[in-house]
Amino acid sequence: MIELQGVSVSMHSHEILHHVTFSVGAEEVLAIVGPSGSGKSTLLRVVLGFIAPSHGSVDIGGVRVSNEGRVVVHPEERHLAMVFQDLALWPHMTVREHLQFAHAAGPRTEMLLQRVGLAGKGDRRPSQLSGGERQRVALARALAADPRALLLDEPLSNVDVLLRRELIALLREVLAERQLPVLLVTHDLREAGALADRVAVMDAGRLVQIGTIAELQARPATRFVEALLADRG
Amino acid sequence: MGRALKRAEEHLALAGAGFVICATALLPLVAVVAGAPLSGFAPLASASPWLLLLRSCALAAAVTACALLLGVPLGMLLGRANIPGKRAALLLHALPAFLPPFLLALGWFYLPHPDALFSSVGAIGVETFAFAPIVTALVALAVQAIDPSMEEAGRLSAPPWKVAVRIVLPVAWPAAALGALLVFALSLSELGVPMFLRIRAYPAAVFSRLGAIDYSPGEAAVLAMPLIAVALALLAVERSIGAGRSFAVLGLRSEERAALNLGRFRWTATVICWAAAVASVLPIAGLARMALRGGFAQIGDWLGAGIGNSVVPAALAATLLTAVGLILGRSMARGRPGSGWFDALAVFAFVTPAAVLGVGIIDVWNRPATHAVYRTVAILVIGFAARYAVIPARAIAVAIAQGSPHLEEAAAVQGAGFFLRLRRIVVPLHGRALLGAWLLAFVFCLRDLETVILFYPPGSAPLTVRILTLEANGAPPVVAALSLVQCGMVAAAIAAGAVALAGARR
Repeated sequence: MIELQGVSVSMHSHEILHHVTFSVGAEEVLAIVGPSGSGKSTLLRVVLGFIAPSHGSVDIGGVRVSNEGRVVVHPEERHLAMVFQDLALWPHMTVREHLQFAHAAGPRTEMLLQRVGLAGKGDRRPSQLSGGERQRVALARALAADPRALLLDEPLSNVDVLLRRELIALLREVLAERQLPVLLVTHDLREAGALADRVAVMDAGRLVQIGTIAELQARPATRFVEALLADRG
Repeated sequence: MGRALKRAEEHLALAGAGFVICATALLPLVAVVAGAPLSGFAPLASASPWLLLLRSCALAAAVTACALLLGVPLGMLLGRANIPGKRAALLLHALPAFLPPFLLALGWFYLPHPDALFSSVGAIGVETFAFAPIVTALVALAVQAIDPSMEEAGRLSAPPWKVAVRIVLPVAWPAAALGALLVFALSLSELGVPMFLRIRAYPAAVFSRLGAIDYSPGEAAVLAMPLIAVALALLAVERSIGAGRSFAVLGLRSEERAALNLGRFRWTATVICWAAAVASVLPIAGLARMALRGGFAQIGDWLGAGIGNSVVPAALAATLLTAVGLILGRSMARGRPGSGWFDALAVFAFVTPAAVLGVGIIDVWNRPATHAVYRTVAILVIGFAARYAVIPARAIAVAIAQGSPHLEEAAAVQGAGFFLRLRRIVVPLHGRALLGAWLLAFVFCLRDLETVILFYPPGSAPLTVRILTLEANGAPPVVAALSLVQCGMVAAAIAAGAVALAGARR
C-alpha cells in the first residue's frame, strides 16, 4: 500500500505539488491523469524517493519513507520498480544483464523473458531490439526486482495503435498475476480506463478529484474534469 | 545559372572548408611521405631510432595511464557528485591544460623538488597534470549528458556507487577513451618537457635535424615516417571509438538534476578533488615565487614583441578555424557526404606529432616562390590551422547536433539558400558555441610551442618559443616572469571569453 499525506513540493520558490493526499490499495491500480506540467511525474519521483516532499509524508507498506523535507528510506531500499517514459534502457547492457542488475538470476531471468515475449533475445542490446521489444524489456526489468509496488510513467505514450493494444493486454495480464499496488501516470483517460481501478485527476499541482471513471462521469468536481471526460468521448 | 549556383552553395562551402584543411594539413603530410624516399632510409637502418620511438611511446602510454587514473574519477566526481565548490575545483584543475606543459615543468623546478624531476618519472608526473584535465573535462561532460532516467532506473535497485560503476562509467567510457587518445597524442608530440627535463624523446630527435649543428631536413623527413604510422594507428582508434555515434549524444545537454549524493564519503572525495585541483596549479605558484625575485623589474628588456607575436597569429588562426569549423561542423552534424573525410583528415593532423607537420610545412612553404608567406606571420597561421582545425569543428558539430534540423529546413522551404540560412539561422542560434569554439582554438594556438618552434619567422617568435629559448641561458626570475605573462594571457583570454559567453546567454 502506498499512502501520500499532504505532500507538497516546491522548487525555486515555485510550488509544483500542493497538498496531495491519496492512497493506493494493496492490489489496486490507480491512474494519475492530467495535462503536461500538472505534476504527475514529480509525484512519481516523490514516491520513488528521488525528490523529498517539502511538506507532508509518504508511507509504503506501512513504513514512513519520506517525511517533511527528508528522504528517510533511499530509493534502492524502497523495493519499488518503475517503467520510465523513455524506458531508460542501458545501451551497454544486454537484455539479460538488465534483469540481472535488477536482482533476477538464473531460471527466473529466463522465465521473465518468456513471460514478456522475449525468449531467445536475452543476449541482445537495446539497439538490436524493436520499439515494442524495448517496452517489454523495461517491463521485465521492473518486474525482475519483485517489487512491492509498480510505477508506470506514460508507458504507452510512444507506441503505435497496434502495439498499444498488444501492450495493454500484456500489462493487464501481468498486473492480474502480480496483484501489486500500481501507480500509472498518463495523460490519456482511455488508457487509464483500460488499466486502472480508480483515477486521480491532477491539474496545476493539485489533486482535483479521485474516483472510478463512473464516479467521475456522474459527478465531475470541476470544469477541468468535465472537459477531460468529454475529450475521452 | 543563378539557381544552379544557389543549389550548389552548400557543396561549394564544404569544398572551401576542405580546401583549407587540405592546403594547410594534407599538403605538408604528403610532402613528408613523398620526400622521405628521396633521402633514403639510412637514418632508420639502426636500432637506436626505433628504441627511442619505443621509449617515447612508452612514456606517452604511462602518461595516458596516469591521466586516466586521475581524470576518470575526478571527472565523475566533479561532473556529478555533491562536491562543495566543484566548479572552482574543475577550473583550477583544468587551467594547466591551457598552458604549454614545459611551463609547468619550470614551475615544479622552481619549487622544492626531488632529483627525480629530471627523469622519466618526473616527465610523467609533469605531463600527467598537464593533460589529465582533458580526460577530466570529457568525462565530466559525458556524465552530465547521461539521461537522468538511466541513473534513476539503476538507483531503484542499487546504491549510488554501484550505479556509478555499472551504469554511469560504461556509458561515459567513449569519452574517457577519446580523452586517453588525445593525451597519448599530445604526450607523444611534446617537445618542451623532454627538452627541459633532459629526457631523450623521438620528436626532439626530429627537431634536432632542423637545428643548427645536425641540420639535415631530409633526415628529419625520414625520421618523421614512423610517427606518421603511429598517427595512422591513433586515427584508426579514434574512428573505432566514434563509429556510429551521433555528435548529439556526445552531449552538451545540461538538464538540471540533483547531484549524486556521496553520503559519508562526501568529505573524503572533496579533499581528494581539491588536493588534485591545488596540485594542478602549484607550478604557477613556483613560477610566481621565482618571478618575485626581481623578474618583473627586468621583464621589459626581454618581452619584446612576444605578446603581439603570440596573440595576433593565434587570433587570425582562431578566426579562420572558426569559419572553417562552422561549415565543416554543420556538415558533420547533419551527416553530409564528404564531411567525414575532412574530419578524419583534421583528426589525423591533430594526432600526428607536431614535429612531422613542422617538417612538412618547411618542405612545402620554404621556397623562393612562397617566401612572402614563409617569412611572415602567415606561416604561423598556416601551422596553427593545420594542427588545430579539429577543435572548433568538433565543438561546433556537437552544438549544432543538439538543435533540430527543422529550424534550417523551415527557412529552406521559404526559399533561403545555404549562405542565407547560415547567416540568419545557424549563426544567431549557435552564437555562443561559435564564440566558445573561437576561444578554444585561440587558447590552443596561444599555448602552442611544438608546432611553431620549427618554422617561426625571424623576429616573430611567439612568447612560448621565447621562453623556451631563454630558459637555457636567461636569468630564472626573468624566465619565470615571462612564463607568468603567458599564464596571464591565457587566463585573460578565458576570463574575457567567459564574460562574453555569459553576455551572449543573456
